[in-house]
Amino acid sequence: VSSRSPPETHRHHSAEVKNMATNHDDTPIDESGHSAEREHAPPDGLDGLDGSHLRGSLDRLSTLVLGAGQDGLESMLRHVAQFAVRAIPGADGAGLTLLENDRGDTIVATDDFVRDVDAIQYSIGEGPCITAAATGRTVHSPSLGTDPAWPSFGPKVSQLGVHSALSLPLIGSERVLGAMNVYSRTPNAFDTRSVELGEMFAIPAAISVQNAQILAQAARLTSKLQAAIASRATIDQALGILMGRTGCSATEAFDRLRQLSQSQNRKIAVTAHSLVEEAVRRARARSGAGGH
Amino acid sequence: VHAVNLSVEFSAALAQLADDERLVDADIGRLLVSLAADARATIDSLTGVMVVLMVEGHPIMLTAFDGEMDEARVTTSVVLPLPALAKVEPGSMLILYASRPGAFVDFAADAALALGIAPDSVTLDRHLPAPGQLGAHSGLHDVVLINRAIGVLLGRGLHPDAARVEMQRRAWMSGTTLGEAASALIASLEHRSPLPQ
Repeated sequence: VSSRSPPETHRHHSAEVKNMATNHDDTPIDESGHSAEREHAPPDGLDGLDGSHLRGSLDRLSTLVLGAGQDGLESMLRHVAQFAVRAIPGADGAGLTLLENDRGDTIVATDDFVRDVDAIQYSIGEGPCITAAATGRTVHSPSLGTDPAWPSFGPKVSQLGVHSALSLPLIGSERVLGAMNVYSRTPNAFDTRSVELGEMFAIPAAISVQNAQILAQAARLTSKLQAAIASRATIDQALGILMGRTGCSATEAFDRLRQLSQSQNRKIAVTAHSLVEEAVRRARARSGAGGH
Repeated sequence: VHAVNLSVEFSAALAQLADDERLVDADIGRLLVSLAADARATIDSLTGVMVVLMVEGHPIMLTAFDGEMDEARVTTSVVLPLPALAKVEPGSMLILYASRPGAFVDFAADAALALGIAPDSVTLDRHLPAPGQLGAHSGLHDVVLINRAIGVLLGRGLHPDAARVEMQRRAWMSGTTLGEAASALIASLEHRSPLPQ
């Protein structure tokens, strides 16, 4: 489980984090109402934070996200977002965005307003999530309405009553996978502790996202492959029927099947299925007649 | 992820599956490469992926490898039972290979928990490739021959189940594999006059 026994990416990332912590641990969070970016620099230990609370949350995160099982990536991500809202002080809602072909898409959100906020930033091409995904750094804004970093996005979401944002990049070994976006209706909702908690959440969340993606990809591939092989099986059986009837080769049988499908204006697989069904019907009729 | 290639055998199998563009969703190759890329993003010493799909007891193997296939680079493997992920026959599996010993220990634990299966169902290092195995026959050719032979028997009035039993009987009688028995049946057609239409 990621939090107790980090896999390669986690270890690799942790090493980076350690270096970054040495260099940038004193990066200030801008208290002036403007966004602040910082390298991932969660504390090495849990001292100074509510350690037992954080440990409990991370353990439950690992258990829940990995226990999502066959419900798939979406279910797993929903658990991550829900736990982020519970664990990060000041959070009113959270969502997870995954990047596909460099385009962000909010896969899950704990509340409708999170989807609305994310929809605005993707439609206009600016916002904390986009910045976090592009830079691979945590982005924090205590006052979106006046934040000069996003002059179009900020006022729009401020009108929706959303004033604070914390976007945490989900970093894989080779690329940014997406971001976890945490929002609050309260200005200045996220302090240094919130940011640190969020960053600690983002590391196992990224690993779980990657592992879930592998499983989801494997399931998709398996289903498609099985469908293709099943379709091919019917076609081969139809070819066998034609070869048995005419003594032709497989290539010639395939040409006949193709001609037949074209003349019927149907897909080859459909024509093949009809041929096989017809043969099975005849076999049943024959055995039925023989039985009487 | 760079240089994740479909094996020559798999590419040939895909081409065979798709010998008419309407026959098969050509996404399969892309999905396999994408799976390898995602796995590589988590396990940076990943060298390849193999999917073994059982079809009526016959294994069909599909592989995607990082660069040149080189079994010597593989020091560890993990096997996930695919029936835990999709409705497939028992024995179907996903095998990941990596060059760094221990690379899959945590992934195996995560996957077992995620899929709700016993930890020992996700096995480590029991499927390390033998020399030459990774470029081996995909198994699709045998399945194609068996289905064509079943088609021949369907055309002769056998039920699908009876046709399968007949194929097994022929293989048993001749002491060959099902694929070889199917091949013999198809070859025998060449020496026979066509049936009247």
